[in-house]
Amino acid sequence: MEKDKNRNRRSPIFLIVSMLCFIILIIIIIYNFYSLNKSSTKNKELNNTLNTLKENYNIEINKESELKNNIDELNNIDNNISKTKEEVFKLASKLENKITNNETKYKIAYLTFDDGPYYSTDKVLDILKKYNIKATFFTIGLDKDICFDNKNYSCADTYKKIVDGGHTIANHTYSHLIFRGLYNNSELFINQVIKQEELIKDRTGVTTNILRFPGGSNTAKSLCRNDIDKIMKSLQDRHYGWVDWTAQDGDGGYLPSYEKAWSNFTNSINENIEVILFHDYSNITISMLPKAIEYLEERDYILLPLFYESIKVNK
Amino acid sequence: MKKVALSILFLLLGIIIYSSYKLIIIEKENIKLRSVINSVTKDNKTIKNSNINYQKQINILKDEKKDKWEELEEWKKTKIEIEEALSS
Ligand SMILES: [Zn+2]
Repeated sequence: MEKDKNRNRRSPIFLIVSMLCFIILIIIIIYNFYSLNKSSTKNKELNNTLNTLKENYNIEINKESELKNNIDELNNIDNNISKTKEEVFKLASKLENKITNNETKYKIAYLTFDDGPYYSTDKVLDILKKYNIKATFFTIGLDKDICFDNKNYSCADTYKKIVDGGHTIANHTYSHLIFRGLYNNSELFINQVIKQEELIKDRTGVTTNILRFPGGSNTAKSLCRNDIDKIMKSLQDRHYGWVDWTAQDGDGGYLPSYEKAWSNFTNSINENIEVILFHDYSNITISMLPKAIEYLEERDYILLPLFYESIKVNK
Repeated sequence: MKKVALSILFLLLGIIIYSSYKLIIIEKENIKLRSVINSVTKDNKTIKNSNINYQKQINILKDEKKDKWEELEEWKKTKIEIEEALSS
């Protein structure tokens, strides 16, 4: 009885203590879960931050390799230009074949400028640059230290400007004196070719192996008669190729007006691979050039500079 | 009654031990993550700075070789133009 009484007396205290313990435990649990929740949220946040940082890091790594490539490209810019040019010419050869086999709607036009350089060549180069077009300049060397069309200027530096513009510089003989002995004999002719080759090499560092006969190959054939085979053989031995033309505006002869030049030009454009003859001294050609470029581009012509492997370069 | 109270007590203690254990693990992971974040942030800063330097170097080189760079870009454009024509 006494024991029961004691238990009954201890009971409320025991209960209160138990309750307190219970409440404390519950509070600890709530606190733990609250902290757990907070830590998990933080964990997610940290993971997200880490992922973003890793993404940014990868972006920067990619950027780094791109930038390093750019630096390499810039440090070896001359090599890269030559390499890209080679690739362009290889692709252009393929395109020529495709065009010849009628497998594409695209066409090729090779703009060529003969007899320069002149003071006005600068204007031609500016127009070509504006349209991002590369052309071919068949240059001569005689009397070019003073520009024929502006006596206050020297054309000696223009050879380099042509090359620096990415154009093909080619050989049109040193003197171009068709009716004053150029085609008198094969040796003399070849010497004129070599002299111009050396002049180009000296002024630009480029060794050309593309030639246009002054007056065209037919003039050469008719004036050289028996010597033409010798000339062709010598050219072959020197790994030269030669180019005529398939279209022109007639600026080499008498041109009465812009309209006449334009009609000559548009009437002569009818092949899928055109070699177009211009002269960079002709003001009519220069004023017509932007329109001519647009005319060709509208008709799916890709305008390229000549290269040795082109089917238009006879070997 | 006593048995029930003890069971609840052990249950609560179990929950406390389990949640504390989980909490410690997550906190440990968070500490690890923070240190990884710090090192990645450092790496990011380093590579960003080095990229800025590379870009500066490129700008100087591009300025020096402006004409050549433009020529290269033009050739690349021509290459793309022919490639497109070839694949048409
Ligand atoms: Zn000529």
